[in-house]
Order: sequence, then structure tokens, then C-alpha cells
Amino acid sequence: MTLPLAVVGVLVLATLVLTWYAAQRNKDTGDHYVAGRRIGGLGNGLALAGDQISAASFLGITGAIALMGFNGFWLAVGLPIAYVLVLLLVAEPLRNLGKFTLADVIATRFDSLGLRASIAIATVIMTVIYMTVQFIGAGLIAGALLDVNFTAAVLILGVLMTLYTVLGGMVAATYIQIFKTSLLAVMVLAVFVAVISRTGWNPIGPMLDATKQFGAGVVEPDRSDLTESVNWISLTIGLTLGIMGLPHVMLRFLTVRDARAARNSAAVAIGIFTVFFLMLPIFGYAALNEIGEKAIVAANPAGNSAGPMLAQEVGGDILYALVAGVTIATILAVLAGMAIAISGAVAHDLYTNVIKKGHVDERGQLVSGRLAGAVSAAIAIVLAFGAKDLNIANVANIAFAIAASTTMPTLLLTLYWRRFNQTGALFAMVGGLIVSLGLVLLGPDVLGKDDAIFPLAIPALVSVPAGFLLAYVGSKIGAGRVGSTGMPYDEFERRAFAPEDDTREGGRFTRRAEEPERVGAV
Amino acid sequence: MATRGSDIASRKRAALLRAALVMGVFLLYPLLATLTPVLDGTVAGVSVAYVVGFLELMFALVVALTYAGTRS
Repeated sequence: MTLPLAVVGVLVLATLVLTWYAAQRNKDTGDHYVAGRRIGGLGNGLALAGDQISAASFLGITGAIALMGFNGFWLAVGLPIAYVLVLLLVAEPLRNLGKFTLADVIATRFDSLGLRASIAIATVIMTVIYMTVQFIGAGLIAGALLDVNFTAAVLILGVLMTLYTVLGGMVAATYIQIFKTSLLAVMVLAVFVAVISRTGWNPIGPMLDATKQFGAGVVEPDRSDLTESVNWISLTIGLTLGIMGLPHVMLRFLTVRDARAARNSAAVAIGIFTVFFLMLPIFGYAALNEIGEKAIVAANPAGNSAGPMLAQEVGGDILYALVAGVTIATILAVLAGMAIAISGAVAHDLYTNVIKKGHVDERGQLVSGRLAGAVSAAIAIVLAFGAKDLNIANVANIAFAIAASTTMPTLLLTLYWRRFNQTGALFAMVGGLIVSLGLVLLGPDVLGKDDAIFPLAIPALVSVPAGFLLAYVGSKIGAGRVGSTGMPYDEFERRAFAPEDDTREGGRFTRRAEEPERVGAV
Repeated sequence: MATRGSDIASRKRAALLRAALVMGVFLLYPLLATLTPVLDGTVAGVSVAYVVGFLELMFALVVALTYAGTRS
């Protein structure tokens, strides 16, 4: 374990140097929450890809394909599709309207304290769930890869994440994410080359070998359980639409310097996803062929060790050490981005805007933002200790389903539906949260498969239409109420979709980066 | 000259239509794979479902690059 530990140590040291460098540039709330809105398209694309390609993607999907065959691959296809939707529907308006948080975007049209509070609370719930999952994953992975115990691993990673967030804010989170995505690309390419060197340089060789060795069943979809099939569809819908509502991901579009950089960054991220996710089935089948199902299950029943074991098998200790180091760096980078999203929701939305009604000076906002980041890390760590035996993949997918049922319909309808109003937005946020969480509590993950009242572990198939329906009903109820319509839609629409006209005309909707320096732009 | 409201409306409509098309094409994939045998079988040892997944990924990439390119 000396070499993997040494690689992890070097990578952590590199992230601390990046944080120190970023800390020199983290001077005000704009830097802390959105990196001063100066990130270039390529840099933000790498950071976006990094946010989404977590350790769970590499370890989880590789392991799932090795053990369960083809089912689950469409989740890998769903992620690039989710970002195409983001690119087409929300990337530019988010950049044009946003300030520090997702609630700021919606508050541009509906300036309601209740609505802002509900978005902030949903943000905290979703992000804490996701963060807890990352901490549990980090503890388990560090145990498996580095032989470090769960408690120590979670505490060390928690302290590191807090340092990144408190000192470097979004600037550090972005630098680290760019660094990590570049490393991940090197690692994936190295594993890929090592794998296909054993199959006569045929990229689909592992799949052909698996078909020969285990029969066509391992490369075909499995439909033996109808409820499970419907759950897969629900999960796919939740994942694909949930991205558009995940605050820590959407926040990335507030960090770019203009709408063009927002578009380009989504396109870059989609390109990276396409290459990355095409390789995962190759790794999964290679692990099955080279290591065998029994050995993979013996190391980890969920298959999470399949990727690292494959690296060890095809590339020896050096490749194994690289995989271990990059996996830990991946978790740290994703955690830092989430801590920024929570600190924005708590300090900027709840404390500054809801509780203090905006009467907090610049220094107070920065201090409260840093404090919120540290406290949220502590809460997620405590939750991780209590929930370490849960199925973390399912818990993470629940966060996607909540996002798809609450913030996604609210954001989409705020941008695109003229007759949407404040009451509709509140119905979607609060109602969507109640329906999605309620169905999870009535589902098999909580009550057990036999006693579940709602048969699906992932509720998106029902809760996403419910979120839209509640938004529609709320808008009908709120129609005509004084103040419910918010800002005139024509004006809002111009700010969201065509702010360049206001720039040319010297209008008040101009939103350009104040400094030309390109943070993280490559 | 400022963008007129009707231009913005048509831009929004196009974005929504494109998104609906992308989502519709994509959703066919898990629906066909999980509920029907249409994507069963292999072609020269490669799963038909994997080939379709590959085409979906290429579709996503082409849509993204075309959109980002034409709007730049």
C-alpha cells in the first residue's frame, strides 16, 4: 500500500498548492461563490465534466457491468443527453440571469422570500444527501484501496474539503476540478491502452471475449423482473432531468464570463462524457474476463473494486496506484463543489436574503459563506457515520429524483412559461419535495421490498410529472393574485435570452465579467 | 437593433422542440431495452444494445457541437 498512499499524498499536496494559489484570488463573495464569473469555456467544461464523473461513475458503472452485464449502460448514455438538455434549455439563461445561487435565477422573476427559502432548503437537502453519499463512498474506497479505516478516511477528507472551501471558495473548487478531470483522462486512457494491449489492440475485444466465454446474455439487456425494469426507466428519467435541477452542477454556469462560454463549456463536457462512458463497458467486460465474478464479489459485493482490480491486473502496482490516487482526488473535488453550493444556499439565500433581508455587509457575507461551508461538511460527515451501511448508489439517485421533481420544473417553467407564477413555483418546490421524499419513504429502500407501499426505489417516474402538475395547478390558483406574476415576463425574457441587446443599447441588463482575467481558462 | 419579442419566442420554441426531440429519441433506448426484445442479440459479437447506445452518444455529441457551433 506504500505506492498508492504516496500517489494520494502527492495529489493531495498538489490540490493544497492549488488551494493556496486560489486563496490569493478569493477576495469577495463573487469570487467565493462563482469564481468571479471569469471562467473560460474549456476550463468550465472540464470542471463540469469533473463534477459529473465521480468515483461512483468509474467504480460503480464498471463494477455493475462486470457483475450484471449490460443493464445500467443507458445511465451512462443518459448523462451526455442530460447535458444536451442543459445546453439547449438552461445554460445561457442561467449565465444571463444568475448571481450566486440557483435561487437568485428564479428570484429574478419572482422575488419572494418564501420561494427563495424553499429553494435554499431543497438545495441543502439534495446536496447534503449527495455529499453524505460521497463521504461514505470516500470512506469505503479509501478502506479498499489504501487500507485506511473508514472513520479516519472520512475525517481526513472532510478536513481537506473544508480547507479547500473555506480558503479557496469556488476558485479553488474549479482549479481542483480541472486538475482532477485532466488526471482522470490520463488514468482512463492508461487503463484503456493496457486493456486493449491484451486483446490484439481491438477496442471492443473485451466485449467479444465476454460473449465467447459467458454467452450473449452478458452483453444483452436483462428483463427478468418487470418492477426492476420500470425502476430502471424511472432512474433514467430522474438522472436525465435531475441534472437540470442539481444546484452544485447548475452553479457552474454562473461562473463563466459570458453566454458563449456557457454554451462551449456544456459542449466540452458532453465530448468528455461521450469518450469516458464509451470506455466503461470495455472496462467492465475486461474485469469480468480478467478477474472473474467470484474474485470481484469477494473484494466488494457491489463490484466497486472491479476497476482498481482491473488496473492492478493489466498495469501492475503503478496503474493501481494511479487509479487509487485519482479516485480519492475525484471525491475531494466533487465534495468541494457541493460545499460551495450549500454555503451559497445557507449564507446567501437563507441568512443574507431571507433572515437579514439583504442587510449584511460584504465581509459578513463572506464570513457566513465560509462558515456555512464548514458546518455543512461537519453535518455530512456525521450523517456518513450513521448511514454507512445504506446502498449509496440508490441514495445518490434519490437526490437526482428530488432535483428532477422540484428545482428542475421550477427553473424550466420560470424560464419558459409566461403564465407561470409565484404560487405555481411554490407548489412545485414544496409539493415536488413532499411527493418525491414521501414516495422514497414508502418505497422498498425504506420499508423493504415485500412491505413497500410504493414499488419503485426511485420515484422520478411519478414525482417528475407530479412536480409539473403541481406547478400547473398552483399557477391556476395563483393567477390574478396581486404580486404573484412577479417581474413582467417580456422584460424577464429579454434578460434571460437576449441580454446582448441591452449591452448594445447601454441597457441596465448588461452582465459582463468586471475583470477580463480568465480564471481557469485554458 | 434589439431582438424583438417574436424572435425570442421563436428561439425559445426551437430550443424546447429540440430538447423534446432529444429526450424522446433517448427515452426510446431504455424503453426498448427494458420492456421489449428489440435490442436483444449481437452483431459480430457486439451487443445490439451497445451499438444503439454508441449511436445515442454520437447523436448527443453532434447535437451539442452543432448547437454550440451555430450559436457562437
